[in-house]
Amino acid sequence: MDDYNKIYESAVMELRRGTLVLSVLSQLETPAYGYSLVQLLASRDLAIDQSTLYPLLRRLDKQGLLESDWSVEESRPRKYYELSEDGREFLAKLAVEWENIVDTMKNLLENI
Amino acid sequence: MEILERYLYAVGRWLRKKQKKDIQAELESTIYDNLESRFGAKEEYTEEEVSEVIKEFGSPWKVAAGYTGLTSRLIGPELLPIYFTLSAIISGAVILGLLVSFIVGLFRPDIDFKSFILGFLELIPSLLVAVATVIGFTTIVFALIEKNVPGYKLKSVSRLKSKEPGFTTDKEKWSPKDLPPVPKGKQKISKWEPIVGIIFSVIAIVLFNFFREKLGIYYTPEWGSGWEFVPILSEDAVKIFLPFWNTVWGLSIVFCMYQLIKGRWTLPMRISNLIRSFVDAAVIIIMIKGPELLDFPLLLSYSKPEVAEALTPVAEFFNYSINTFLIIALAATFIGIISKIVYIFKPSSYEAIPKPK
Repeated sequence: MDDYNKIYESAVMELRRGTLVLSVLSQLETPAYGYSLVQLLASRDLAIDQSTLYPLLRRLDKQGLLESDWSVEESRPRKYYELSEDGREFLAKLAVEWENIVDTMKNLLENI
Repeated sequence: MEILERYLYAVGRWLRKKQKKDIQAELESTIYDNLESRFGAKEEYTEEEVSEVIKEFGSPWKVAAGYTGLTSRLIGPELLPIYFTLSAIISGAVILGLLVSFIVGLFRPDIDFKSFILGFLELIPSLLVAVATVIGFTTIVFALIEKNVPGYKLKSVSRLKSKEPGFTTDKEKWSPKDLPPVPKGKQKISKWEPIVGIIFSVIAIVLFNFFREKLGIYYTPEWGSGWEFVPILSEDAVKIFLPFWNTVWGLSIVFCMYQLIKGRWTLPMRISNLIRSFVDAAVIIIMIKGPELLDFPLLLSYSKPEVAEALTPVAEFFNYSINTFLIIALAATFIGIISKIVYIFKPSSYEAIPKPK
C-alpha cells in the first residue's frame, strides 16, 4: 500500500508540475515579489514550494517572459516580477492550450 | 544574524559568479519575508527562528541546484547503454589480461605454494586498481563525448526538461526527419567487430606496457623439474616501438568505440579508417627499419648449451622471417588502403551526410 501511495503522489506531482508555468504567469499581470506570490497562490489554493518558485521566476525572467526590478522603497529591498510584452502574448497562447487540454480531458473522462 | 549569513554564503558557493549576488540578495529578502509573516515584524530575529525558516528552504546545495538547474548529467540516457557495455567489455579484457599474466607467471622455476599465495593476494588489489582505472578513463571519454560531440551535446533547454514537462524540451525540436535511415549492406557494422577490436587492443596495451618481461619462452628441460623462462623481446627495440604501438592500439580503441556508438559506416568513419591504415603502415615501416624485435643473443645466452644448440636454427629462422612477415603485413596494409579508398568513392558503403535544412 505504501508503494501505491507513493506512485499516486508522484502522479499528482507530475500533473501539478505541468501547470506551474501557466499558474505563475497568470498571477503576474501586476508586479509581485517572490513571497507575495507564494501567498497569492496559496490564497487561491495553490500551494507551491518556495524552493521551486523562486528559481522558476528567475528562469522566466531570463527567458524574457517576465521583467524584474529591485524596489528599494519599502523597509528592505525586494525584487518585483511582472509579465513582459512577450510574456503576455505567451500567457494568452498557453491559456488557449490549457482550454484544449481541459476539453480533451473532459472528453476522455466522460464515462468514469 | 550569523546563521543567515552562513546560509547565504553556503548557497553562494554553488552558484556562478555572475548571478550569485543577485540570488543571495533575493534569497535574503525572501527569508526575511518568511520571518516577518511567521514571527511578526521585528528588528532582529533569533537564531532559532531563522533556523526554522531556512530548514524549510532546504540544504544550501539543494537550493543552489534549483537555481543552476544542475540536473545535468555526466553521461546521458542516449550513451548510457553503450557506456555500460563498454565498461564491462574493457574491464573484462583487463581482468582477463591480468589473469593470463598471473597464470603465465606461475611457470617459474622457483614457484612454490607460498609465492603462489602471495602472488594471488597481490593480484586482487591490482585487479581492483586496474578495473577502477579503466572505468575512470571510460567515464572521462564518455563525459567528453556527451559534452562535445554534436548530437550528444548537453543543451541548456534540456535542463528544463525535468522540471517543467511540456514547456520547452529537446523532444519538441525533434522531428521524424532526424531519424537516420536503416543501414543497408556494407553500411552496417556488426556489434562484435568493434567489441573484439577493443578487447584485443586493451589486452595488447596491458600486456606490452606492464607485463612484457613475462613474454618469452617457457619450457621444462625435464618434465617435473619446473619451468625455465627465457625472455624473448629485445628491451631496446620495445622501448623504441612501444609509443608507436600504443598509438595504434589507442587509435583502434577510439575508432572501435566510435563504431560501436554509431553502428553504421559514415563518410568521416571511412576516412578515419583510411588514416588509421596509413598510421599502421608507418609503424610497420618503422619496425622494419628499426632494431630487431626479438633478442636471440640474450635468449641463447640464457639457455643451457644443448638447448642453445637446438634453438639456434629456430632463432635464425625467426630472425629471417620476422622481416619477411613485416613486409607481408605492410603489403596487406597497402591493399587495405586501396580497398578503403575504393569504399570512400563508393557512397553506397556509408550513410549519406544529411543535407542541412
